[in-house]
Amino acid sequence: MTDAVTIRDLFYDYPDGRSALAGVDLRVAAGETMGIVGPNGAGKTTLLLHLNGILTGRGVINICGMRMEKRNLKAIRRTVGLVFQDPDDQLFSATVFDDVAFGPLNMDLAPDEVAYRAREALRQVQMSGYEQNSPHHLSFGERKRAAIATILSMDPEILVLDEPTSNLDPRQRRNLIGLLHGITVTKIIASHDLGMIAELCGRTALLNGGRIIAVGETAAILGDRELMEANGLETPPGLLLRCQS
Amino acid sequence: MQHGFIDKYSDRHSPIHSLDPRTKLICLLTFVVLVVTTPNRAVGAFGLFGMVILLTVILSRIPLRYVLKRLGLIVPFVLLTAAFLPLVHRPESGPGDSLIVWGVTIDRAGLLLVQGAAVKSALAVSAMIVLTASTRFPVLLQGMERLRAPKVLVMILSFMYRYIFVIIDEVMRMQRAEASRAAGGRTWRRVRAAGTMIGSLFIRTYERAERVYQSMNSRGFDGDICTMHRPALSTGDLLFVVLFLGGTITVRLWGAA
Repeated sequence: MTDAVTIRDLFYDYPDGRSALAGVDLRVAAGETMGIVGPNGAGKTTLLLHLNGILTGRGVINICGMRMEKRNLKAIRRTVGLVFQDPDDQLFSATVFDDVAFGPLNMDLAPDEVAYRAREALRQVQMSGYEQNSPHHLSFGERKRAAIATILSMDPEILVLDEPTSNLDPRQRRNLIGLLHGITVTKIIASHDLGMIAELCGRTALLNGGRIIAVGETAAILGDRELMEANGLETPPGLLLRCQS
Repeated sequence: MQHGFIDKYSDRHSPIHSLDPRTKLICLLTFVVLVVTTPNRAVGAFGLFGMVILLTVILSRIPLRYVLKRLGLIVPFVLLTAAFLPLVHRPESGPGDSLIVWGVTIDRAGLLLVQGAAVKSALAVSAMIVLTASTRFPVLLQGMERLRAPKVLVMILSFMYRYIFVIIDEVMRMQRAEASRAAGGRTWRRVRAAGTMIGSLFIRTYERAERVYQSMNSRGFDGDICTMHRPALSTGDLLFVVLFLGGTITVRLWGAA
């Protein structure tokens, strides 16, 4: 299987000198869904911000055969779609439509194509009809879905999501998991919502202290109680029941 | 949380609402220039300008009370800056040109200036209120963009509209958190708490700006703002421009005569 993402020996220090990533090695195969779990401050968001060159640490990153370098940055940002945790950071335009069209417009597509992609992305997240709404008139769940649409409209090969289910009520969360199930591109999902990780991700990487502590089948990682508790996490109750039976 | 939006009545339907934003912007700018350049003594002209505004308010179906309320918020600021004009002594004014109240010399020409400033600002501001209340803000921004207003300016306004409520929400949350713990603390303590709040609000806003910029970069932003263009002006727009500009320019010329 070809790799969508290869990371070797990635180091990153915060501007104040604290180490955020201390030698991360990770491979994500094309088409797979990879979960990233870890306690607060483990470096999950920092790692995700490296995947499209927003942050640049020391080390080697390859995205679909492209090396992370300045000259590849434009192509990499078309390949990797990054959904931020707070939809208020992602949705910055005056209308939902403008926001969803922002990415495609930066890709220099024809206006008809841009409009088509924006409408299609909004349909995919069940937000058709909200085109002319202002983001601050939407509910949190709606904003979360609109934020995902702003990335889907760019048709990325790799979808990267930071805490997609945080602050959602159970129904909205269920709805979002179903939505992510239906998106078949390579996905990388960082979250504390271990139930969601267990449902969506084939493999999971456990990140702590800026290092990958373990990578493997999601059930094996999340089901390892000792490993989980040693890293400030816990095996989700649903998974425990499944392991016992 | 609930906020009063400046484009509160923009979802209504009326002849004014259906105008192209460019039409409204051009009419507004011309109106403001005409009003400001009208001589202060032309009271009749100002009355007619007022009638024009009243007519657009009626046409737009925006409650007159709303316009007056917002006007009441802004005009005092103008008056405050104009209030000192009569106290300035002009060398050209003779002894009969000034009154003395409580030992303070007040210049008559200065009084006329204050009156002019009040009337002109009230007219200009109410025209702007009608514009912003009858146009959805994003549409207004599109209009500015298509009139080739500097893109950076349009972008700044768009960010302002998008984030002002996010920031107000943050302030309200901080105030609630403060109020729930400050059970009748000393005033000085509360003032200090307010100072810290302003500081942390600044930092939060700054950090948010960084994240927003990151999310723009993630979607291929490279400093150029690309936008989509939409259809041309209708005959209704042309009719409105001709009538509005024809009327107001006539009033202005008559006022100067």
